[in-house]
Amino acid sequence: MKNIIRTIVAAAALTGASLALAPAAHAAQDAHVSVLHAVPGVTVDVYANGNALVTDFKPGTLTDPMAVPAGDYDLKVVAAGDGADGKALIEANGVGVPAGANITVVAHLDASGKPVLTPYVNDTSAIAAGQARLTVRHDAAAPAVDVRAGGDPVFTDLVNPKEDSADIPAGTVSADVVLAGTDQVVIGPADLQLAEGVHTIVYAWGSAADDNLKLAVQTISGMHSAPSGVPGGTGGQAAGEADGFASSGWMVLAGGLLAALLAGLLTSRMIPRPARSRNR
Amino acid sequence: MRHLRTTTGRAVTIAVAALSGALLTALLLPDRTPSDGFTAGRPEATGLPGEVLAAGQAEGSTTRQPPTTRRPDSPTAVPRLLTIPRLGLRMPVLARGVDDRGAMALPDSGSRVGWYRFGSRPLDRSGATVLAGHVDTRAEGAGPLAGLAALRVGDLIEVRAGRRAVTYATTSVTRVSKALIDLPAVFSRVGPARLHLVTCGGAYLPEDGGYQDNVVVVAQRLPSGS
Repeated sequence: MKNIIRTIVAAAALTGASLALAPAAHAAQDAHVSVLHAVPGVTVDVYANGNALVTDFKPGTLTDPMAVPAGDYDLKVVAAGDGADGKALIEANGVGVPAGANITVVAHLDASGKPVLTPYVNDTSAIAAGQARLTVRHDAAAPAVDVRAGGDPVFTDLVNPKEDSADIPAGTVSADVVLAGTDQVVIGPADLQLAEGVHTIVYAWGSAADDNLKLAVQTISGMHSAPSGVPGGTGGQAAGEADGFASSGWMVLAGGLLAALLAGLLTSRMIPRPARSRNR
Repeated sequence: MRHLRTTTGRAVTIAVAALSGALLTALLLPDRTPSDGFTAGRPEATGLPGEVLAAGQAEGSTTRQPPTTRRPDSPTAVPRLLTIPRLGLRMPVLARGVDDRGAMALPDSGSRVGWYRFGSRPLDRSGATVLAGHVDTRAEGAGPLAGLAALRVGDLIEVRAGRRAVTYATTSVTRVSKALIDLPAVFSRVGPARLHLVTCGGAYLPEDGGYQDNVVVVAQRLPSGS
């Protein structure tokens, strides 16, 4: 089975080489890439391998996910209108985009205020029923911070460009960002609606020195799971009653066997896909 | 038809068995597309892989709809009353999530039914609205849901959501082992708008987790006004 996957990945790589950044169909081997512009004050164009990926890109905006073939990409950010050969505001060469990955590339300031590009792989694995996934990424020219929800620290001592993540019960939380180990609020508080089965990614960006720290939020949905069961009785009194199924027990059995047979047939033909492929 | 029944009873039995098998297959197979449209198969995803929105006072971010209202086909009305005329069943509906073991949380009383609040709503364009409750409780004995097994294909089920009455027609009533039930299919948020009404059944083994089976009623939503 691993060989099959390797073959498919290899084929994808070959196809990718010829397709470059042509708008790709939602093939299983494509990666999904979003780009967040988190450098204050400048409208830019983004090029990948010399092709325009995003144009007239304003600070604080996030693109929709773009399906791109897996491979290595040379990324270049220039002032809007400067063209592929324009002066690079930021450049990152050989950025690896794995097959099937969900990635957000962030143009942001590093801790000292210099523009950089950071690719983050978004966790699209299944989320337990009732839970939401919260990730915070420190992309601001600012020192280490703590992120609090309802006043309680959720993530501590986060430094640029690190991220931290946790699955927590779905719901609305009041979040703020404080200087690490202090109560000095630098961003927020802001109400975050953490929807069940959804990955909410919060970006802290901007510059503390320029007093323009902000939050940007990305959500990735579709990772929800079913509850582990329906425990629908606690007494046992109904068990004695005629439930209309008494004579059909063999059908349940037959159905189960049929299902098992079919499942066997289908499974033997299926190529396993990574869990993240559910997020399309 | 009477002639058919009397002379080909055996064939009818086999057909029923086959149909039952197909429905069970639909229940048991993880997210495959069965012939009766019980699930729409993969992908379960909403097709909205990424969105951005402003968080509270966050300025400068691209603002879109917040996650809770991101599905334009999700009228917010939640179910509040379940009635099944032929059974004389009438039960208030309470919104429920998951319990501390990750199972669906149910109202304590067998005279109330829970709605899985993370799943679809009755007026959504797609997905299963899941209502589930105790067939009986230690304190109260057998509740109204003990009658579910007597439902027949075609029986009408009504769910009040907000000020609307949403009507469903029963398409299958199945008892399936809790060890085999395909929960992602039961709680599917894709496919035709439908009702999944779930309770317990089968043998009650107190030392082995209580009821061994789930009873699952699947009912298709009828066009409004019918």
